[in-house]
This record gives sequence, C-alpha cells and structure tokens, in this order.
Amino acid sequence: MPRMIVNARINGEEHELFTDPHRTLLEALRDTIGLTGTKEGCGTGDCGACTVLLDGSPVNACLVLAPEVEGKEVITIEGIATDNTLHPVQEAFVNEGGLQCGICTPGMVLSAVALLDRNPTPTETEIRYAIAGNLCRCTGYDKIVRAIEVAAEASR
Amino acid sequence: MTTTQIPTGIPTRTPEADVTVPTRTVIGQRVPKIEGTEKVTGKAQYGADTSRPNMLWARFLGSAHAHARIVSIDTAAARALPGVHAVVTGADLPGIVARISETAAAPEEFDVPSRGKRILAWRKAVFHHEPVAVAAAISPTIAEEALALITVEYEPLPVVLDPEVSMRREATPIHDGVFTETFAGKARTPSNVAKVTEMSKGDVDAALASADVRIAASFRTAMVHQGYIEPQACLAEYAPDGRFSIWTSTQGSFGVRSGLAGFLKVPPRRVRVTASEVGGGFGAKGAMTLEPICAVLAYVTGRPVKMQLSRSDVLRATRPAPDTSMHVEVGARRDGTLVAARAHFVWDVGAYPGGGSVGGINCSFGSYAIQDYHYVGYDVLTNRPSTGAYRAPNGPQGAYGVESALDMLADELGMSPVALRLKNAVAEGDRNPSDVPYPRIGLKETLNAIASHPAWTSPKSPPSREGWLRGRGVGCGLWGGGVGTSTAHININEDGSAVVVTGAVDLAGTRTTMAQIAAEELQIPYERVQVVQADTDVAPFSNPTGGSRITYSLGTAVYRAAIDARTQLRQRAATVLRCPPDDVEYRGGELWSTLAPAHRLTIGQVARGSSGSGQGPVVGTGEVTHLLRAPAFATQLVEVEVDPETGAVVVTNVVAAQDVGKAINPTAVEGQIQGGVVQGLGWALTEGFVYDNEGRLRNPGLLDYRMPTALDAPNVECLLVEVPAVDGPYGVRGVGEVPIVPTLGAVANAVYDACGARVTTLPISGEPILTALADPARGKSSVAWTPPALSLDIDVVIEEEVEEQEEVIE
Ligand code: FES
Ligand code: FES
Repeated sequence: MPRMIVNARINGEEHELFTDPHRTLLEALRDTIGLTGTKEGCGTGDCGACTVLLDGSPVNACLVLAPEVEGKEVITIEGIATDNTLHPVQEAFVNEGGLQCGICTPGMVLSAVALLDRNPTPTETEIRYAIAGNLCRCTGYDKIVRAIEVAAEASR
Repeated sequence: MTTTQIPTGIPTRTPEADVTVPTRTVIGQRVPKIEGTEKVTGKAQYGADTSRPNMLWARFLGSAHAHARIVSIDTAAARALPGVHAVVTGADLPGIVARISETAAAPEEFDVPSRGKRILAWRKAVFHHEPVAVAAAISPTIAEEALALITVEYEPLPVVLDPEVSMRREATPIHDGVFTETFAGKARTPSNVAKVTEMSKGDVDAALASADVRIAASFRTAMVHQGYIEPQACLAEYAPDGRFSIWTSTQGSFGVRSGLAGFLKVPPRRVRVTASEVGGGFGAKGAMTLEPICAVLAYVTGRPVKMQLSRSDVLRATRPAPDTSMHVEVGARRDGTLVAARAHFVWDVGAYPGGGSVGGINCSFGSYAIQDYHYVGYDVLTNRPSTGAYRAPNGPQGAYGVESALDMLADELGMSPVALRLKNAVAEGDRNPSDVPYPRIGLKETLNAIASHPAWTSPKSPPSREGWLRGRGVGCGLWGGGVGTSTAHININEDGSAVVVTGAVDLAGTRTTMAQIAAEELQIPYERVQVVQADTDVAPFSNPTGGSRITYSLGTAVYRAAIDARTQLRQRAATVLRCPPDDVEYRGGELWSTLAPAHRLTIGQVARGSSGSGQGPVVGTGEVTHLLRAPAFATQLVEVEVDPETGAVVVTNVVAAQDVGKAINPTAVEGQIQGGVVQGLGWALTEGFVYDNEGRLRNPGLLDYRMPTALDAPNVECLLVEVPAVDGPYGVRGVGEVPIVPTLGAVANAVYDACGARVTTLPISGEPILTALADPARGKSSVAWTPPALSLDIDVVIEEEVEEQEEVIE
C-alpha cells in the first residue's frame, strides 16, 4: 500500500506525517518526526508507556493507527512543560522520587495530567485507578502515587 | 566446599576527612534525582531513541520449534526483496567474522553450547523462538516482510521441558558439548546437568537424626521474567577505519566492549560502546543480546543498523529467571535452635548453561547459623530459553522454600516465627553456607524492627472483604553484596563546580548518589556537581552495574577521587598562599593558610589560577577494586486477605525492614525497596511463564504475563536500619537486590496464616490455594523427595581446566 500524508496538530504545531497506512501513531511520532519521548514497552496496549493525549484524552499511541489522528490534536510528553517550566506533575515526579529508570515516566505523567484535568482532587484509589494501565517495574508505584497527590495539592 | 579469601579492608575514612568534614551536609538528604528533569520531559535517550542518518532496521526470525535440527534455510527470496540490504544466518557468521577480523574462519567456534557465542541458531535450535536469521532493510515493515520470505526446513527433535526428566541419566543430551561442571572438575560424558554446586559441613544425617523436630517439604517456583518495561534495543555503525560504534541499553558498557571485541575477534579499541539510559535491567541487561547481531549487520551493509525487540520477543527469547524445584529439610531442638539443614535445588536454566548460582544458596540459607548442613544445586538444561540474572539471582526462589520451611517449623514448635528467626539469625563472625565469615551485619536489627512494629504487635484486624480471611507472614533474606572495579574522575571547573566522570551505568539513580558523595567531600553545594556517564572511549574503566555494587564500589571511587581533588587543591593553594600544604585549611569550599586566615581563596580561584600558573587543571581520580563485601539483610512482614472460594489474594500491607548501612539518599533507597518488594509480590502471586507441550510460551504478552499494576500494589512501608558496613564510605551498603529475597516466602507464610493452606508452588493465587485447601494433610510436611539419578558420572576430570562461564551480572 502506498504511503500517505496525515495532518495533525502535535504539541500545538501543525504536522504532516508521511507514513505507511498500517503504522501506528507511536511509530509516526517516534520514527517520522523524532518525538522519542513517547516510549514503546509492548506495542499491544498493555503497558501504557506510549500514553499520549488525543483531543485531551489519554490513549495508547501503539493502538492508534497513524491515519486515525487526521485533523486531531495530539499532546506528547514533549508538549507538557511550557517555556522550560515543568508542569506541576513533572515537578512532583522529580521531587518525590516518582521515577527510577524513567521509561514509564512519560506515560505516567500524561495519565496523571489527564486525571488532574478531569479531577483536581483525586483520592488515592482514583489515582491508582487512573494509572492502572501504566506499568512500572521499578518503583512499586508508591512514590508515583505520592507524586500525583503532591501535584494535585500544588495545582489547587 | 568453597572458601574465599577475604581481602583486607581499607580504612573507611581517612583521618583527614574526619577533621575537615565536621558535619555531613548532603549525605542522608532526599535530594531530587539529578537526571529527573530529562526523564520527565521525554528528553532522556533510551536504547531505541538514538537514530543515525541512512539507518537500516533489523528484525529476527525465531525458531518455529523448541528443539529441532535445522536442515536448510533458504533466504534467496528475502534477499531479493527491494529495500532489503542483508539477510544473515548462523552459517554466515564464521565467514563474516573472519572478514572483520582478518583471521581464518573457524566455524566450530560458533557451534558451541554458549548463548553468547551462538547468537544465531546453528545447525540446531534448542528453544522456541531462538533467533535463526536476521534481516536488515530500509524500514521495519520491509524487514518484517523479508522474514516472512525465509523458508526454514526443520527436523523436529523431542522436546524436554521438565528438568527432573532432563537431568536423568537416560535423558538425551540437548547439546553434545555440555559436560557437568563441579567444584572438583568436569564430567567426561555429555549431560543436561550443566553444573553441580555443593556446600556441606559436619554430619548432616546424624544432626538431623538427633533433632527434636524435623520438617521436610518440596517447593517449586515458575520461570519468571525480569519484566523491564524497555525492550532491548541497539544501534551499531561501522566506519571504514574499522571501528564499530554501538549505542545500546546495557548495564555495562565495558562488558559489552570486551564481549563484542571477543566475538568479532578485534581489539577492544575497535569498539566504542555508549550506554543509553536503561529502561529497567534488573540483571537482564548485563549480558549481550543484540550487540553482536547489529554489529555484524552494520559491517555487512555498511550502514547503521538499529534493532529493537518486541515485547513478545522479550518474553520468548531473552533470559528469564530459572524456575526452581527444591527439597528442603530442617531440624531443630525443642527450644528452636536449628541444628541441621539439607536441601536440593534444581534450577531449570533453560537451553544453554548459565543461570544457576552459588549466590542463590547463600541467599537462601545464609540468614541462619546452622552447624551441620548439606546443600546441592543442579543447573539443568531444558528446551526453554536460557536463563540469566534477575535481582539477587536465585535468592528469592530458595528463600521461598527455606522461609516456608521455617514457618512450618515455628508452627510445629508453637513458637512465634519472628522469635524462631531471631534465635537463629546470623551475626558478625557467623559463617555463610560458603563458609565465609560475616563482617558486621544487621539481620537481628531488621528482625527487631519488625518485632516491635504495630503491624506485628497489634492483634489482627478483621478482613475488609466479606467471607475473606486475613493473615500475616514474615520472611528474611540477604544479598552478599557486590564489589568489582570502579573508577571515577572529578574535574574541578574554573567556577569551583565539579564534573564527575564515570563509565558505570546508572540504572535507577546512582548519578544522584555520586553527586551527593562528591559534593559532601568537596564541601560544595550538591547543585554544583554534574555527573557524566561517558562512553568507553572516554570514561575510566568500570565493571558493569549489578549485584548492588554501584553505591558501594563506585561510591568509594568517587569518594577517593574527591579526596584526591581536595589534596591537589590544597597543594595549589599552598603555592598561592606561600605556606606549606599542611597549613592549608579546606572548609566549606574555601581554602586559607592557618597562619593568615583572613586571606581566603575559593575552589574556583584555585582551579582558575592553577591552569594559568602552568600547573594544569585539577582532576581528581579514584579507583577501587578490593573492598570487603558488605552483606545486606532484610526482614519483611506481609499482610494479605485471601478468598477461600476462589483463591484470590490481595496484599493489604507490607512493612520492609532493611539494613542499608547508611542511606545516602533515603528516597532513592526506599524506591529500591518498594520496587523490589512489588516485583517479589508479582513473583509470589501472579507471574509465571506457561508453556505448551511443544515448548511454546503461551503467555508472551503483558496481558497474560501478569505483573502488578498500581491497583495490585500495596503501600510498602520502609524501615531503614543503619548498621554501618565495615568498609567503604559512610558505612553504606548496596540496597538493590535484597528487597526481593524475603518477599516470596513472606507472602506464602501470610497466605498460610490466613487460610491454613501451605502452598508449595508459585505463583500462589487461585488454583494452588484451592488445591492446598483441599489437601487433608495441609500445612504438614510434604512427601520426601529423592533426587533423580543423574547422568553425572562421578569420574570427573580433576585436572581439566574448568571453562569460563559467561559472566553473569545481577
Ligand atoms: S507500548 Fe503502547 S501500551 Fe505498551
Ligand atoms: S521507573 Fe522504571 S519502569 Fe517505572
């Protein structure tokens, strides 16, 4: 099948993605426009490392075909900090030890940002539920949960 | 019996250091991670994140059979596909390596039973999805299409999946070239028992016979995966000057350099390795995986080649942790004193030798002082992927059996499980199973921390779910400690800031710890220290990261480098201040002469001046190879709720006490403990490879290979016990391995406490609990186990040189 061009707004900028039609949004972001902050842990929707915001909602970019984002707005980890200032969620992850190897961190941060956008005062259970699709093998989750609590507090 | 010469210790702190650092400022502080900002913004570069212009993509074809002779491989159609630049099989490797190294091709060297040598299945495939061929193409899509065009003709052979069958004398050897290794030498006939590890002392039969109470039980754990979230990824480039540049996700860049140079038969200077950020290793990224394949493809195509494993590749064809069958016997006096122990461990190490370990036995029984014992471990080959290191290799499996048996013993004696462990816990001067005496250690302190914790002392609260049962259990564990060579340089900048340069890979935050040590010893703010993990052309040598050695060993190197920089700064200041160096005071980042304290110099002034004065820049260097091992112990309390209807288990709370020596950064230390515990919970409750009868993995995805999520993981309360280690700076001990060791046993004991089911197989959740509940003799000693007749003929060749096993890094 011939390659195609997909138009999408990515981190506030208009992009033309030149991609094979069966390749995923994850591959288009990483390999076509070099936004490697979005990670691949499984490619099958089971780990959450590839989480991005699609029109404001968290999705697994490995499960979205690149042509599906035509005309849509995509926010990746590269679009979360503004003007060199960390988002409160990012800041809390750094300060509270919410990351170790950091491979799950971009996805975790985006899931947490999406949660706090919807629900600025989440309970611990709501936080754990919101990140239940993001696997982390290093931290045991405790400090990630604390970081999101601290970020929620700070954003209030 | 092994005996290890204990190296003489070095002084922990130079007297000078104690004089000039009156109080610690940044050691023990919860400073944020130095590379945290890069990681939360997506800028940190992991294995798959580096690309080069003109790059090709590689994919591998895995064997369709778990055991088969490879009759032929037809790659013509794949090669002819437009966009394909190379297709390589095992048969091509000798010729390619001969061209690279300009030596004569030696095919037999690639046909040895070693996972590191046989990077593509050669004449025979010995586990399912073992790489058989690789293709490099201009896009991943085309590389995948090329694989589909390769035709492999197999002649299937019988598949052996049960180690207890495979180790029998009559079993057909999986490889012709594996001869049982023992401490005494090598056997003469090929066998599936790759290695026998034996430790004994005294007369265990007599001691067991004289014991008042005896427990005998068998246990089995499943093969599990380290579960790092980042699949292995590598990029290789070959330059016309004959040099290979490798970017890879590895725990040891120098290990890859020497491994790859050895494989390609080129001198190490022709290989440059840059370690990326590592998205989780836990031991698995200590061994080479993709580097030789990528290097060969880069050479053949003349273009950079990137290869990245898929998750199912990772689960099917990397190196998981061995499943372990074990039989454990312990005997004690009425008062709870352990008098004897005997154990057999059968490690299913998969299709190639490696994977078993002495450390596993030391981790399993090393927490207790036992007079008479006999332990044997067998590394047994099967047609499953060859195994490797996973956090405290083989410690968690063995400790699961031993800690369960101790609980059964406590039950039999009517003793508290904590009291029983305290009574037998090792202390300084006691010896481990390898007969090496322990230096100062803190096991009893961790037991006391749990014994006095409300989660242990308070009465059990009722279960929060209706019809469920609540219980708690404890377990102990240890890791002997990692050492090895580490080197660090510290460059002092003209503004008085410092850059620490190392060649050791930071897996989870040790850059921060190194910055803290450098800041402490240079007496400058933490924020003014940068830590650089450099490539093998630039960095001073370090052994790979593993075995919880970095904070301890690299920390010592950084400490020494800082002291060296300080000494040089004092000497340079002395020339400016016109006084003897001994009269120069160094405090708080300033230097002055005690004879004229009013005239003060900053570090920056001295560093600047020294380059102008012709003395050159200040570069402190620190190196360490010999340190006394600093064993770390832990005791954990796990609380669970069990549904007796379904066998479901929910972990409601964990309290983890660990002797960390000195927590340089408590946040980082707690993170290691919490992460290790939750991995242990996964191992105990839900994780395990499931194979069909043909040896194909039935759960090669993260949906069915079930690792704990944020909803499964409980809060893990950490009790940091600080019994200073004898050697190294500040009394610090390595912390990474030990937290996973006690968890499996503690979970099993909690489940027993909750519902009376003594589960002897992992993972525990569901059916095993229901089976145990249905067993009338539940909780009692299980049937005695006789080790199967070995194919080990005892005519070992004593003189023969024992071949070096591939280095295993935890
Ligand atoms: S990579 Fe998309 S969910 Fe794992
Ligand atoms: S920090 Fe390593 S996977 Fe989450």
